[in-house]
Amino acid sequence: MGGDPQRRAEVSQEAAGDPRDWLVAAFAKAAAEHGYAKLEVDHVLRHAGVSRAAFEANFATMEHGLVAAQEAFLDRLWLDVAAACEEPAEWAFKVRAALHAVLSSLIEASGQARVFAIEAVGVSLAAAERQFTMLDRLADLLRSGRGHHPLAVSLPEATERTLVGGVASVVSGHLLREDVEALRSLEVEFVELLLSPYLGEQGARRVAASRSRTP
Amino acid sequence: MYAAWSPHGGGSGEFAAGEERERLVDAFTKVATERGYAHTGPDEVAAEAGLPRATFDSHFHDLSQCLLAAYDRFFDCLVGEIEDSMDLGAPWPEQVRAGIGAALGFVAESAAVARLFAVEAPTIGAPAINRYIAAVERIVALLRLGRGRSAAAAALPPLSEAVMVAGAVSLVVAALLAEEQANLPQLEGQLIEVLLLPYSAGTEGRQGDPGQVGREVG
Repeated sequence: MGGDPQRRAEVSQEAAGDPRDWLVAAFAKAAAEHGYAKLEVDHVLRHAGVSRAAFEANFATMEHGLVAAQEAFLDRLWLDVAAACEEPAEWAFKVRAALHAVLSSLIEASGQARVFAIEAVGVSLAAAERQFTMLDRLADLLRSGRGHHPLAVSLPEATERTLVGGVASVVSGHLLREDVEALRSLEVEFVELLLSPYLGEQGARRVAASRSRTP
Repeated sequence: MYAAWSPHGGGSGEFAAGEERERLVDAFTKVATERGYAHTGPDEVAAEAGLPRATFDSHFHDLSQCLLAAYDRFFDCLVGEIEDSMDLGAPWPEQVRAGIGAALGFVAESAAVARLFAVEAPTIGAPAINRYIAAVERIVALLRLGRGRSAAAAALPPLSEAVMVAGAVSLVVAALLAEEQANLPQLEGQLIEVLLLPYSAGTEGRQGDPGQVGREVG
């Protein structure tokens, strides 16, 4: 870290917290920079400004560090979704806001998103399980729409998990190809697909294309 | 059933290059399914195939290339099963039902092999993930045939089939990851209903039970 003022500031800021938190944050930065396949403990240590002993005291393996960093990443995404859902709007517009929040976060941190959504899932069963748990949580949230739209009550049980898993897969494909900007143009279509089972195609299209938070 | 290694027995006769390659792919699938990809090496694969290690090296640069060859063959079989099950003259819901039944039946019967490709293969990185995307695209193309069979589906958003198929695959992979392949038959009825939803939707919202078309054929 030497004489880099920004790095010194980061370290000074981090010094107030838990070393494990610094390491998790450093892991995410280093993984986004190098990719998980080429990531070495030294890369993480350089970002964290801590010793190898500190790393080993917190993580038995690189995979443990990866899973901890992925968990922090998914927690932040979940907070973005929760914040979007708190907006004073009708259910369908909350779905649209939540999707927008997730896509914005993924685009903004596309390097990390690529590591945690694609690389991590490939190399760690634990990471894959966490990703599936996140998809289940998002599907449960979408399922709340059944309470708002009576005709959706009889939808097949697997509807929401299929939709959420499908959108996530398409997003992952774009992250893999590093064409994240294309996700912005797909947002309207994703909203339409997620809402169609509840509102019908034209209703979903109206919400997806509308600028307001109410129909 | 996906009889990955059954067509070729052991033995030490001489084989044509194509047959050697097939034997190596069979052997790889068997060994990696039993031991896991991380615990499989070219020597074990060659030994299982009854061929010298040099023969392995003449066909594959490394083990990951052999994995990709096995991966391609598995998905060729899977897509072939789906295509064979779909009677193009039958009503669209019947075709979807048959295709999903064939796909899930194939995966359930070859669950250990399917798990290898769905869960372990991605460890080699982008090449396996690109193969996965290409395989899903082939199934998406089959589902897209429904646009010509249903007025309701003609105006669906372009990504509809990709999202539905990838979502269905995600559910199957989750079941394989959790080693809950016994639940796959229960998933069949659900997926038939979900994948047929776009064909039961009216343009001004649902006028009735949205899962009706799927349940009628499921």
